[in-house]
Amino acid sequence: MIAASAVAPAAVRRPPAWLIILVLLFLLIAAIVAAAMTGAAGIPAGRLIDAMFGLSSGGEFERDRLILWSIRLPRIVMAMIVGGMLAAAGAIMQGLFRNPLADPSLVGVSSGAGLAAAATIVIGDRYLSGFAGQMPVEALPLAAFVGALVATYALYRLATRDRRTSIAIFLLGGIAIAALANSGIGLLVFAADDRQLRDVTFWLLGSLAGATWSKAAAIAPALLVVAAVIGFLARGLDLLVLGEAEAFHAGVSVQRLKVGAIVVVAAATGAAVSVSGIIGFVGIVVPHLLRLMIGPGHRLLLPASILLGAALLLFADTAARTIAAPAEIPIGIITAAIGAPFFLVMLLRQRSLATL
Amino acid sequence: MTSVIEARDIVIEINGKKIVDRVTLSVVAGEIVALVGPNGAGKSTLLRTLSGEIRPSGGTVTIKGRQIQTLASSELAQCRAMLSQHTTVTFPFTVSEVVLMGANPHRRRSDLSALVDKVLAAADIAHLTSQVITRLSGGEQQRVHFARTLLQLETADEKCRPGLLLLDEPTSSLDLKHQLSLLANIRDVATAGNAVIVVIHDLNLAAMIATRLLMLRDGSLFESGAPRDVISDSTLQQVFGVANAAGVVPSSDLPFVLPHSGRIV
Repeated sequence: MIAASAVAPAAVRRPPAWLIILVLLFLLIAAIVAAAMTGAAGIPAGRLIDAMFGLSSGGEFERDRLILWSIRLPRIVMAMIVGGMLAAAGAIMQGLFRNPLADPSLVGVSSGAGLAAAATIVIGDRYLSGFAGQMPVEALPLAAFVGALVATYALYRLATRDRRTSIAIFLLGGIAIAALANSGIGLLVFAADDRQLRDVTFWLLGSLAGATWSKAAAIAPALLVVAAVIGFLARGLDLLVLGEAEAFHAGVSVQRLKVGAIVVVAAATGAAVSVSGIIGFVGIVVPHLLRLMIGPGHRLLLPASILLGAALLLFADTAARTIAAPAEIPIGIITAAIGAPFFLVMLLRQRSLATL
Repeated sequence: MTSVIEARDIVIEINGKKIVDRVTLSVVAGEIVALVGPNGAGKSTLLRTLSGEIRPSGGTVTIKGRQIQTLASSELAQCRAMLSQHTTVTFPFTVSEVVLMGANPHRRRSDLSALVDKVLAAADIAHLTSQVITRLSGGEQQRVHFARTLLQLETADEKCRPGLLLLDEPTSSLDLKHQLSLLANIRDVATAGNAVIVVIHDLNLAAMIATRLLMLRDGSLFESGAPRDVISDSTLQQVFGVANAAGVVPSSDLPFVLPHSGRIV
């Protein structure tokens, strides 16, 4: 018999799931420590535990504790929630559209959320502030969720016909939705007064500078929902990679899966955008890196995306705070500077997909 | 014997065009029914309706006495497995990951390994398990999906036995050796008590495997019966417009089709 294996591709070995989760947890802890120590007033590693739990008293320790608990930690928690949700939204969206190039910020979902949030700021501020006083902190996440939901659903209807998703129409339709939402945001900028303008501009650049405990608390439920639901989505998303008909044959309730995935993507994106504005490319970089290491199975990919997304965005935010200190670079600029070239490389390597 | 699947007066219209016109059929456990006919006769569409994927415009499909429309997709997947004609995978799953996707999600992983080994051997892909499926040839990928479909059938609930296996052109991208081994796999599935319906272009392969041929023409049932009775000069002429093509292998009494005795020039 002639050996036909001379040119056989190398076998793929996947590391065990517990190891991956462990490594990602360590990475996340490293990111938290780095973020907690770094800033205008540094807290050395030796004093970190002390400041965290208020073990010692005295002027220096009091100052550390105040900085940590009222400035650093809310921002750390928010960066983790936002990063985790953006990465999970990207991974779920890529599974739903069977397309590794899908990302909430790239195809207009974040813009839809941003438009709804900006409209809430400008219009809500103008007509509601008179009698309702301050808007409730949950108003923005809810509005952003609705905006993201509308954008995701519109995109789905555009790109999917006869149970097939056209990748070209998906990306082009996403561009159109983003353009439409951005023109709406532009109109709101035009109509806004100075104070509203500052708030709205914040969405366009993306930043975690406005982090507070109450904002973190307002979006934390969305992360809990996402984390609770991904286990139910995993098998369906795996099978959906084979096609809608195949997923149905294997016992997946495709309609329910798609509705669930769209709602989760919208909730995660909407919550993230409502507190941090439009931060791009997290949803594309994180799942892609993970697929290279652990493979595309969603059972591990989705939780791993949350962990790595949280760690990466936290590192990026720490960089945004320190590179040009005392000034702060908007974090959206950093993620785009890393993510856009990354996306281009992926596009070049997957050119066969673009012809579909 | 009670039938595993029954279809009554199936009519399928797509965009106002009648693809399938009043087809009635019933398949019992242990039977292998081959749907044959020219391109566009409605074979694949009929099969996708029998699987529950397409809702017919008229008529009813029942699997083991239960209306297919009333079954949830998860219940349906316990009673029937289906292999589609073309399945493309966009993400770099390994062969064993794809095969395991077919497993009943309620079965414990540790109980599966013997069944997984069995279907890997049946599809002759045991040596490919840690390869990435997107890098395999079309025929190898087809065998992976066949193994996945077999695993779905093998891991179904006991109460759903005998099951139903539906196959759409399973041999189309396979080489000669694997065409024959796939036919042997199908026969094993039927011998184990399951009902099989297979859409197949190659009439010779159909004659080798089917206990019954259903020949479709323009969406309706033209002829039905044992391969020896259905494959004749007159049906081939009327359905395919091909003259003097039917023969019989003397040693096995199997019909065969060889339309042209010389080179096409």
